[in-house]
Amino acid sequence: MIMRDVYVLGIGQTKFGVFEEYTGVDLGVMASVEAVKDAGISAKEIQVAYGGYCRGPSTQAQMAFMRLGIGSIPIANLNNACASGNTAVDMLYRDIAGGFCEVGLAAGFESLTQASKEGRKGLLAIKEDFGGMMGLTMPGFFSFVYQRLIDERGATMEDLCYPAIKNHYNAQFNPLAQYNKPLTYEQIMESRVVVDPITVLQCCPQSDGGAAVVLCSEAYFKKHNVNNHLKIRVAASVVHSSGWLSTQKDPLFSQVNREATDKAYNMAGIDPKDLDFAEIHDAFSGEEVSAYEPMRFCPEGECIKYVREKYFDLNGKFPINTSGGLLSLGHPLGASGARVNCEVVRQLRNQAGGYQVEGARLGLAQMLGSVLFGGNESAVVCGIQILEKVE
Amino acid sequence: MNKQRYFEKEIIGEKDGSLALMGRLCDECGKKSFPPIELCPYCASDKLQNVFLEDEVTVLAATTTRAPVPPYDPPFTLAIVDMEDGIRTIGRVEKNKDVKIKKGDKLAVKFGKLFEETEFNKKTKSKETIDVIGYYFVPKG
Repeated sequence: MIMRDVYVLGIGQTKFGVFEEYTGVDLGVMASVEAVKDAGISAKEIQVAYGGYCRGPSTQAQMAFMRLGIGSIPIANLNNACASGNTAVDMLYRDIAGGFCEVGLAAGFESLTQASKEGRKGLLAIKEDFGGMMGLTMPGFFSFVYQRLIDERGATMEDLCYPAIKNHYNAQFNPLAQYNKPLTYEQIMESRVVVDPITVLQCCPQSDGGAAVVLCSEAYFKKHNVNNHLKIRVAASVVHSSGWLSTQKDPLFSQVNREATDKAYNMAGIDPKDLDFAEIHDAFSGEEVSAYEPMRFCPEGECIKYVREKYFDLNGKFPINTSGGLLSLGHPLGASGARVNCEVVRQLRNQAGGYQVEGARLGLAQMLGSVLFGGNESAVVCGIQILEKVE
Repeated sequence: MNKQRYFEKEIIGEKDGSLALMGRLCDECGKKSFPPIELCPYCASDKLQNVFLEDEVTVLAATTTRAPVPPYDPPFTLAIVDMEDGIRTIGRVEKNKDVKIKKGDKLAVKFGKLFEETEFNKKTKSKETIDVIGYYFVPKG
């Protein structure tokens, strides 16, 4: 099949935080309206639309998009855990690349405030999950990852708190972030322990928010780019899942992250060194450290050396989570995968203000979505987009 | 005595009068897997038979949860463990205790009640308590 190039015409993103007054659908509407306005087109132009979210009733995508006057087109709802938003973007990418349509909308949205009104107190074990039945939780799984980084890479708690400190620092420059205050190592370690040695300030917060992108074909971009946006091409889009055999691997090294990033680098025809920055899944501080090696942001075995060099700082050699990441920007599950795409676009358009990466040309947006099983990743999905500024 | 059920189907069996963990052995590729699934994860064959697994495991990583995870109260310890034939899985260490263990420690497999659940019995029109039986590990020696 001949694949066509796909471009970003518009982005929209709400502030992330706790919003008692809004549902997930409300937040999806706000982000989508903004994305269509940013694209400079009528919502009636949208030929296909996808909505990603994790909690609440079915057909929330239809509920959201009908409030923009969108209808009589294909609309689908996607739940791929934290990668739901990337999955929505990927489905839209395929439709345009494959020639099925010229322009479409992909949104991710979530209100964990509304969802938790129905929930119970305490950490959430995953129903239907083997490990969950024995009390395994997300921080529980990532505490194993911490333990493996300590045993095999000589990580200290200071090393494992590096992403939390860095990302909270970055978020003070992002007006859309849930938290805008830097944190010290002492503050992080003095907060309540959830699962040894993960304290609550090493975890992302519960958040509400929405994000959306409008993608289109090259011909459509040429004809409709009335807002004179820089031309940003989707250089790669990948949704990749692990399988049962992952349960036999070491949680130190995420196999699904490795496989998905390699697929994306291959699709974009780039070397990881060509990337200027990345927005990735940092639900837990040490998780970000564990992603550096599988995603080839540093050589194997050297993640801690790179942490100590502050390589991934806003002003470092390869900035990661300049927005504040899930840890400080916030993590409305289904929204985050669309949000990382908005972030990358904002950097490439030179619109990131106080957290702008100078000369950003090529950026990667990733989310890892996971249900736990068997004590290791297995029912895990990784969504990645690589976006490129075309001169 | 309360009614009992195993927390997963076909995961526990009776071997010489006592309980043992059960995995699957593939007749086609000869590999073992745990917990039991429908087709061999290595070669997708449906020619699988149940086999009893050994009662000793080795710790890869362990950690203690300090927040409630219904139906469990903290603290409790979970470990990723390696079993025979390259099987890696997860389990509780003791049932409700903060246990200090580390990589390489040997643990024994035990069986017992993990938690209770209540179910409405349509015949007797009353609620009854069911003990959910699972496995857990205890330090050896």
